[in-house]
Amino acid sequence: MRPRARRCCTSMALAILALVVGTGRVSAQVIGGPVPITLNVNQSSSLTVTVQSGNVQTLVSPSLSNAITNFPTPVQILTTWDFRPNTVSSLSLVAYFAIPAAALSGPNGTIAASRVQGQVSSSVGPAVTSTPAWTAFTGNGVSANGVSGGTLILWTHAITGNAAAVRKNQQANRLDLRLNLLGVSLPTGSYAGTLVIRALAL
Amino acid sequence: MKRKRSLAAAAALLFVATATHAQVTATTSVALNVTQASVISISASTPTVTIPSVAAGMVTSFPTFNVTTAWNQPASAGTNVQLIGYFLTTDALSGASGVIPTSRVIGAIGANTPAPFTGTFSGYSNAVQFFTQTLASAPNSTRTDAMSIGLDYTTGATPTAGSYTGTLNLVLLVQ
Repeated sequence: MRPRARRCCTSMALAILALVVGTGRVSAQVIGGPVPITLNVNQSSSLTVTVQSGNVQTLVSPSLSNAITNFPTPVQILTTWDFRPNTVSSLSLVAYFAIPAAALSGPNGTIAASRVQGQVSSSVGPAVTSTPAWTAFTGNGVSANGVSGGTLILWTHAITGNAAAVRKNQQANRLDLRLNLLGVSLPTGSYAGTLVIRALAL
Repeated sequence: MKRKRSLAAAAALLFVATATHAQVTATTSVALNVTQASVISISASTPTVTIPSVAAGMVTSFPTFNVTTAWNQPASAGTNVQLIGYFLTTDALSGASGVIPTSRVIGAIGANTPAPFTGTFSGYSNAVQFFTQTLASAPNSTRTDAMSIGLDYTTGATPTAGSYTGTLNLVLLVQ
């Protein structure tokens, strides 16, 4: 066989071999799928309110009657929230006494909620303008949260839009408390009461 | 079939509405403790009063001054509040020329009739009780009274010429 004819035969043989091998590979591959897997994560809304300091206020004085007397330390409150989109439209922080006529009581008498005043300011989060001045705990609650005649709304923020920065935030507040007993003669003795602080999202 | 679908749609809407307006709350509290301590105090508008000359046959009065008393006491403290003035001895005033006995010194508050400092009240001798009132009627009170002190020489000889000094003690008692 001439060299040229030999080269031609060799090329053909290789081509046939390649075809045979290739055909063998294609016929051996088995594919099932792809199968799509949907991943769902539901992060629940969260709302917390904590008193970071000043959760026990003690005031001892011989001259509470007919005077205005501040409680010694401010109440530091931290409210944090993380709401799912389109679930709430407003967020409020209210403080109230369960029994307005007897916010504090003792063996010798009571101190009404109207004689307890609060003043709130913020250090972190949205500015607070609701109660910049001393205000008595004589307001009504918000949507059944709080007690009529014994509540002070510390602040209310609108949760508008779905921006994450709005839906997830925190607010640090300083709540100062005082007794306004002008015109009141307070009998000697001890008086105790509980100021409830509630954050609520509607 | 159509009605069932409508009901299902309505139920779904209701669920969505409920979920959208769900109320979320978080609560904490602050304990408030207040103690009104008991109070009892007395003060006079002046520390010193002076008579320049004692007249015979009459009562010579010191300038009137005010006495302010205040108290806030529990019922357990006692039943009465009283203001008492007293001298430590029967010699109310004394000096180089002699003494003026408590029987010559009279006192009262307001329009009350002056009495000599010869009584004994709650253990205080050479005393006048200016007022007494029940604690229950006013457990927390403040009052200011005009106090008149005088030397009664409507009878007898006036003191020998000279300077006399003495101390009238005022005490507010709850017992």
